[in-house]
Amino acid sequence: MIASVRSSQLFILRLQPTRASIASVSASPLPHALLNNFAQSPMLVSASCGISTAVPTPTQTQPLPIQTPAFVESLTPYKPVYANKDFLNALFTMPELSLFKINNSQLNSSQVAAKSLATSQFLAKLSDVAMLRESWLDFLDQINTELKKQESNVKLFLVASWISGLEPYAKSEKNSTPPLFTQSVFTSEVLRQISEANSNVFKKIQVIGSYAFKREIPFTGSLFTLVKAGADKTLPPHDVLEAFIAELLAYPENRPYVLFSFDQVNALYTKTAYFDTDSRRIFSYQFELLSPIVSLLARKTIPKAAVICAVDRTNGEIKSNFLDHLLQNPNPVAVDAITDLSRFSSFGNAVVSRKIAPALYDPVTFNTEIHPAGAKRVEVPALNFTEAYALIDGLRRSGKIKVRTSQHLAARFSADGTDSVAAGSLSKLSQNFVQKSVMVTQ
Amino acid sequence: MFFLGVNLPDNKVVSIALTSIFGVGRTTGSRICNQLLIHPQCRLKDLPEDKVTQLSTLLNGMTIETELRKQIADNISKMVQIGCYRGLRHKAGLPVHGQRTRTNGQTAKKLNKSRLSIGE
Repeated sequence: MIASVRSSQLFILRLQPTRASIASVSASPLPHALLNNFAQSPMLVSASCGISTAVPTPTQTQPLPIQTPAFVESLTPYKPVYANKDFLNALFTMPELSLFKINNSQLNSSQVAAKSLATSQFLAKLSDVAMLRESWLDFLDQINTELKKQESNVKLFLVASWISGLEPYAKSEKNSTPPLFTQSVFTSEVLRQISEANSNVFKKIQVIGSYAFKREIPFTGSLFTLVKAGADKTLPPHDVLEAFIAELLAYPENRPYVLFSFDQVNALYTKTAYFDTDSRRIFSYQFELLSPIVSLLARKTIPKAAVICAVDRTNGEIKSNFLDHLLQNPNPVAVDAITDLSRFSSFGNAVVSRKIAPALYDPVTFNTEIHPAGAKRVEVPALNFTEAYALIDGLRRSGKIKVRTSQHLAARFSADGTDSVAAGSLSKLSQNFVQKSVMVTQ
Repeated sequence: MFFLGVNLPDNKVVSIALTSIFGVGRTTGSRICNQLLIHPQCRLKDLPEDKVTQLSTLLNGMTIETELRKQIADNISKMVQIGCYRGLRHKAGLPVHGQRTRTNGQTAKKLNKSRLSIGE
């Protein structure tokens, strides 16, 4: 997703319900004082990396009535002003436009099972929920540092369904080696979402570069018009995407700061689920949709911009041995660190770091043109006790997950939930629930 | 969707749906999809018209269904005619590939003679 943001802003990674560590436990109450404290605290997001994928196990065989606490709180929509330590471990809802929804993501079998169990056992609706962690504040500082530079030479890779075979594809008209492939329908959808997310900013930017798109008269108009034309297929979507990124990179003085963010970036450096006409696997960089993005990451410097990428380690289908090896080096890696390994290996030139790449069996290793330059690893730490407690309790209090109670407790609740005795029992249930779930998480 | 006299299931992925055709297995089905650049998760009902036409043209050029059955039967009858071991086993309705006959062998007894009768 590309968003024109101020340096203090950061888009939110979407919470993946399959990656949340939730265990079925009997609920326990939470003291009201603690509840009041949590009521002031905002939300947290980012359940990528560092969270176990424990599958909840049911404790009851009979379906139990669902209790809805009387103190269900609505979550605050996230704003950049909340990115400070006063709102640490607080939960927020995601701004709708900040989520770049691509309807082709695939879950593996364990993720599908965990998601269905989480939905059935806890009535979980965990999408669009965010918690502000301390590690994210540190990460924001790194991004702000990059944005303050005239030219960013570091791309931040966060370690923790573009190429899943769900979208139509065709061979490109361009004669190139290796052959390129197009995904016109998907590209227009991508452009549509980019234009919707950044429409206010794009309307103020006039296109300076000359882009003919195989017509006599070059394109003139705003960036919004350009991207919209690609989304509506008035102009070739792939060419529009290429022109759009070229415009951003070539004329930085014509635009505000740009934050480029990519999720599951390891999918860019691995094989896709597609095949060419000779039944050979197609690599991500052979798609015209992805080649501009790969080229962007391969640039050594990017003016007035920052690039952050999230690596998905939960899906084995998009595993990239090359990228895993590249990111082992905690320092930013330059593409031209070493270019000649002939004295070390008979395979010839193939290097991504100062050490000999062990991923020699990965063909991407030898394609140095697409290697990301300045990749810097940023570890997303696992949730600590406090954060896990805040997350689960916040989800419970906001009504995102609902706990099933025993029969005798449910019978004591009044219709409007104003039974003080029941409320006390409910809070007691909640505390146990949260504590045990956190213990299972640890 | 009817394809060359075979009713293919619309809700299935194209490469799997093609296996309903006699003579097309999973490998051939995948190869056909790759050749026509049909994305791996495409359902038969979502196939555009031009791809359906290309698919039909491609399948017409292959030996499938009746032609393939005839070809198999011809091969068997040729073996019977020349009096080779395999032909004798087909004629007798016994296993051809060296299986035991002391026990089992019921499938061969059921099928081999019927295959022979197709060719005759």
